[in-house]
Formats: sequence, C-alpha cells, structure tokens
Amino acid sequence: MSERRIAWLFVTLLTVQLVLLASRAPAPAHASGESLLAATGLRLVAPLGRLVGAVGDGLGSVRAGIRLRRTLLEENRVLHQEVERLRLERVRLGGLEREVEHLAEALAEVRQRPGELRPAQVVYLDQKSWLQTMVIYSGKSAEEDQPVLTSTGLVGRVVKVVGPYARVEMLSHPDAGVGAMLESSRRQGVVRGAGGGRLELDYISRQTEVALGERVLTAGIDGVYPAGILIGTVASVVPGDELSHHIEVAPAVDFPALRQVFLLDRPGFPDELRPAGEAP
Amino acid sequence: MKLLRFFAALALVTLLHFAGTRLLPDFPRAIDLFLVATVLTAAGGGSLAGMLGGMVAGLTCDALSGRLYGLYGFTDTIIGYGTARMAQRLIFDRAGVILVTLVIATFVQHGILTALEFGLLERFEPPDPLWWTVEALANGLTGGICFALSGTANRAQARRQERVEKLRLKK
Repeated sequence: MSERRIAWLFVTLLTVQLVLLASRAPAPAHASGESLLAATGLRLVAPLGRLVGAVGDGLGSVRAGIRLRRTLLEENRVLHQEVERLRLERVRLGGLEREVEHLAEALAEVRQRPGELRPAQVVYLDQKSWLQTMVIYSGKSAEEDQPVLTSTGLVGRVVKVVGPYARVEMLSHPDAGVGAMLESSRRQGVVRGAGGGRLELDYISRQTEVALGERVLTAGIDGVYPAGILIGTVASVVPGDELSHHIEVAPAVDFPALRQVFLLDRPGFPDELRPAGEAP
Repeated sequence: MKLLRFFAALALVTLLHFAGTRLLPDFPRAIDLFLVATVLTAAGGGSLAGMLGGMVAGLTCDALSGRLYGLYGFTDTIIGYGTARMAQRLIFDRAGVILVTLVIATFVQHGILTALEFGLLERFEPPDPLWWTVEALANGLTGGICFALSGTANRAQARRQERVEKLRLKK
C-alpha cells in the first residue's frame, strides 16, 4: 500500500476513533451502556490477569511452604508473647466494657447489613489512573450496582459485568458518590472521590460540629449501599463556602493493598421507586 | 508471521504488565509497556504496521484502564504512525535513538490524553510531574534495552550463518 493511501487511512482511523469517543463521552465509561468493544477487551485481557495471579499465588505458596518449617517455632514464641500481652490488655480494658456496650447499642441500628457476603478475588487494580477502578473475579456472575466491601469498610460498586468478571468503580473514582453520615451527629452528606485515593464529604452544614477522626458511615439513602458500612474517618475540616464545611475523609480501606473483597448479595432497589429517567 | 509475532509480543507485554502490577503496585504508573511495544513495532516496521500496532496495543491498555475506553487506542495510533514515519526519514539503528523517541512519545501520550479528557469529559487532571518523568525514563530505558538485545541477537545469528557458509565453502 502506498504511503499516500496509508496517510488517508490514518486520518480516517483517527476520525472514526474520535467520533466514537465523542459519542460515548457523555455516558461515562462506567455506565451500563459500555460498548461491546470494551467488554470484549476486558473479556480477553482479564483471564491473563487471573493466570498471573494464580501463578504468583502458586509460587508464593511453594516459597511459604519452604519457609514454614524454619519460622514455625519463632512464630509460636511470638504468639505466646502476644497472648500474654492480650491478657493484660483485657484486664486494662475491663473498665471500658460498659462504655463499649453503650456505644454498641447506639450503633446497633447502623450495623444491620441485609444480605449475604460473597468473596471475590481482585484480578487487577487500576493504579495507572490513580485507583479509580479494579477488576474482580467472583466465580458466579455479579450484578451492576452491587456493593463491594471488605472487613474494614466500603470499597465501591460493580459497574460492569462480563461473565464471572466484574469491573468495580472504587469510592476514590471522581464520578463515585455515596450517601453518607457522620457517626456522632448523624448529619448526612455525600462522599465523593477526589482522585489519588482521596475522599471528600460534601453538604455538611457549617453549624455541625465535626471532630477529626470521627467515623463516616453509609447513610443508606442512595439506593445502592445499605446503611452503616464504614467509609472512613474525618482527616481534615476546613471552612468551605458560606453554607458547608470542606471535609476530607481518610478511606477505611487501604485501596492499593486490596487482594480480596466481598460482594454484598441483597435484593436490588425496586425500579418502580426510582425517580423518572434514572437508569437502574 | 509478523502479525503472529506482534500478537505474541502483545500477550507477553500484557502478562508482564499483570505480573509487574502484582509485584509492585506502582508498576503501571512507572512504566507503560504497551507504549514501548508500540514504538518498537513502529520503529521496525512500516507506517501501516506502526499505526495498526499502536491502535491494538492502545485498545488492550484501554481494557485495563479506568479511563474512557478508546483514549489509549487513539493516542497510541498517533504515536505508532508518527514513529513509523520518523523511522522512514531517520536511521533508527541505536538504542539511544529509541530511548529518546520513547521519552518524547511518553510526554506526547500524556499530553494527548490530558487534552482529550479535557475536551471530551471536561475533566482536567494533568499527570503528576514526578511520575511522568519516571515513566518517560523507564519507558525509554526499557525500549532501549529491548532494542539493543534484539540487535545483539540479530548480529549473533548473522555471525552464525556466516560461519556455516564458510564451512560449506571449505568442504
């Protein structure tokens, strides 16, 4: 093929790609209407990630087995020391028990998590775009908008499902939003991703007293996440506009260290109750 | 045969990307193996191979990225074609040339990505200058090393063939 023809092909190819990009731009990449091409790409590439993970795990377990014998005695000694320390700690914490019970009663309401937790393996964590999405393998098919969490707190929600794989939009994604509340004042706001693994809490009025280190929980008002899941703790509070604080939230989940997560299986939000025009 | 070799290389790059990410969480931020593959393909082949190779490598990278699908495909198409056209005018026979090309390509790639995101999504997120520099240097060094190694392999094969022909002539 002559260079002139190739140049024309180049221009045509770029134009087509630009038109396709522009046509999909208003619907963000995580929306349910993601293209067949994107789904095919994910389907082709994700199994390679799982393969690498399996090989890595295999090698890791062989190495661990070799080291196990050498480290077992040392570990046992350390554990004995730990048990002793915990016994002393238990005695020290005895006086705080009643206070804890009191707090537990107050939190009982937000601790209810309807539904079953299903484990899923993190196949790929998107560090390149600063912790915005990840791909998980759950064996069974997940559902869009399904909450994803760990034992330490909320991770995000499923935005794309391809067979047993699912792409998860993490809370740190700039488009992510969660209905949230401050634990002590029960004041509700919205937690948004601020990029680079950071979170921000908006719409908390300046009259509200916000303490550093205060826990931020899901409010259960957005139709996606149930109430009472830990999102993070207040890291900084600065006066925002005339009406509200500007609050930075330290995520409860260590996003870069995620290896396994849980999908929350629970009845979906009824379509009949969604506001008109909002996609399920 | 060339096509098969390209897809084998792309599969290897994807595996290395996954393995690197597993070993070092910052790996994808520090190096873009898909860009390295694009530039090496374009430097060694024609402009059509560079353009299509760049597009396929970019779309593979898109499948792993949380960004709008097709951004890397678009960008790497331009870089693949541009590198191939440059390779037709300049002589890409040294690892140093590949290193410089990849450093420039990395800056160009992020420039185009940032401009596209701003134009299409009205989101302005310029890359971190430190990581940008690290990635440019890492891409350049990796590309340069790959190029030098492939050159060494080619020269070794040529020497072996020369020796075999000499032996035939002696007989």
